Amino acid sequence: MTVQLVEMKNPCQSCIIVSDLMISLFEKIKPEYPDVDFIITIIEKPEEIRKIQGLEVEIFPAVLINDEQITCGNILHRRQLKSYIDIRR
Amino acid sequence: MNNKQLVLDAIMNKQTERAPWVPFVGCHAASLLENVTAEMFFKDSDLIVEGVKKAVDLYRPDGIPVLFDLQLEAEALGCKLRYAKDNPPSVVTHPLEDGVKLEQLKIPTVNDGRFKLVMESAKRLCEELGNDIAMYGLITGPYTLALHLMGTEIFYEMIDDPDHVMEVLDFCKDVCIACADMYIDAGCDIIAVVDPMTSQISPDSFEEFVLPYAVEIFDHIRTRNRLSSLFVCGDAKKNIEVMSRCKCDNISIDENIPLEYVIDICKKRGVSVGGNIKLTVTMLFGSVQDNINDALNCMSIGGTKGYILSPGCDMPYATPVENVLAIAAVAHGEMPESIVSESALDGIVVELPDYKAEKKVIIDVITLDSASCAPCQYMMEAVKAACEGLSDKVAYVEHKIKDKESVVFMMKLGVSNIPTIVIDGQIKYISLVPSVKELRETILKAVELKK
Repeated sequence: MTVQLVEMKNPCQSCIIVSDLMISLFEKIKPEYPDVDFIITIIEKPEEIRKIQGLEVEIFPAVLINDEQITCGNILHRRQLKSYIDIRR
Repeated sequence: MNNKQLVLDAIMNKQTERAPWVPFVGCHAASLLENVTAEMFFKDSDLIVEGVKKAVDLYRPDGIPVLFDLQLEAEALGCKLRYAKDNPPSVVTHPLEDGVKLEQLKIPTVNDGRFKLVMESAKRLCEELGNDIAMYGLITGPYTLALHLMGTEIFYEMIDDPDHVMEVLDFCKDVCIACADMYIDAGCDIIAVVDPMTSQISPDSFEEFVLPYAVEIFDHIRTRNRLSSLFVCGDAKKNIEVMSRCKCDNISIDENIPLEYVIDICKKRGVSVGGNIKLTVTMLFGSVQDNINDALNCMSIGGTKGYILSPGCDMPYATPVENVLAIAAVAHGEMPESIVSESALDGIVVELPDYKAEKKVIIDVITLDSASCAPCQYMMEAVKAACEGLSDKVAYVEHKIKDKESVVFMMKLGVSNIPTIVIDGQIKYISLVPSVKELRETILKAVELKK
């Protein structure tokens, strides 16, 4: 299983804060999910979103689980992200 | 009217001769200096001053922030930051989530974190630039700061332990007031409370967890005789109404919220508006023409009473200079140099009509492109409507400056703003779209002169 965060290379500070919170969250729950790959993908230009399977909307940062977009532009709470992972495992 | 007064008047909802231009030059200022990374910029008072002054020289703003760093307060409160070459720093630890107690946190002073160097920059910039342009002091809003301190736990604690969240927010409010005072003491004219993370919560949550603290902050700024703005990023459309009750003088939004919607809501409470230029699609990745188009659209919707032309948030490090120059030119009512540069137009020959010899009155409408630029579209529609039934006496032509021939044509006519209506070689309406009635009367006068 992969949990992927997709963010822009040069985001505004609002997006940076959302991304940082998601990255912190990934780091926190990683030990509980040794079988899950947590990936961070940085895209330089909006055209590159075509290369990311499952990405649907041009709002960042986005979180995908197994190529299925879970959210974009929003912060997930630990309990939410864990539930999303657990029901798909 | 000087540039600074233009910003102050717009914030106070007064009529201005044009919409003031305030580029939110954050770490982009570092990119204007040779071999300076964002990290170097954020840690060096001299570089902040040099970068902002360079941005002022290039972009001719009416107002500018001293710094756009939403991690400044968090760092002084113990959050660890990760600095980057071409981005603002990131918060990597959240003290209250990691076991630190709220009682252990102290309101930062000028001696904490990077405050000393930032306030030195603010003081120097206000002294050197503050007579001519409005200086903004940007502080991290209470909710965003609470999120830095608590991490994502804040969302569930708002449900499970709202009293604790309110204690944290009350502390963050005191931090905001202390930081606002530092910027005011340094000489800033406007204090902007930047609270982008409020777009993550509902209007009810905003009302409960943000409004009371925001009101106190804005009341405090008012007691210090300074103007204020509340910045939000992201899709905060749902919160605009409650934001307009925060007692701020101005609300600044990004491209996620329709500008006309925000103006409509804010006007009722006497709050002015700013922002809305698309940061990523237009400023970072768009062409010069995209930037002209976006600025014109914003100015068309925003008007000249209570609107400040600015990007939706802080400009990314790599924003192309020519894009910002194009917006600056449009803001000052000029054509961007990259469009009218002689080298770009070399070899293009265009002859103007012999207007006197023409049987019909000729109306030349200079536009960016009426298919994509709203003010250009309104102007073309007005011309079409005003010319109805006059096809035997009047001919109109749209000259889209997307085509180089049209740029040469425009220059030969002496036109420097778009959209513009020229009747028989005479510039009649610049940027302002006349009523159909008024325009028809002007056209009929020109028809009479032909006889």
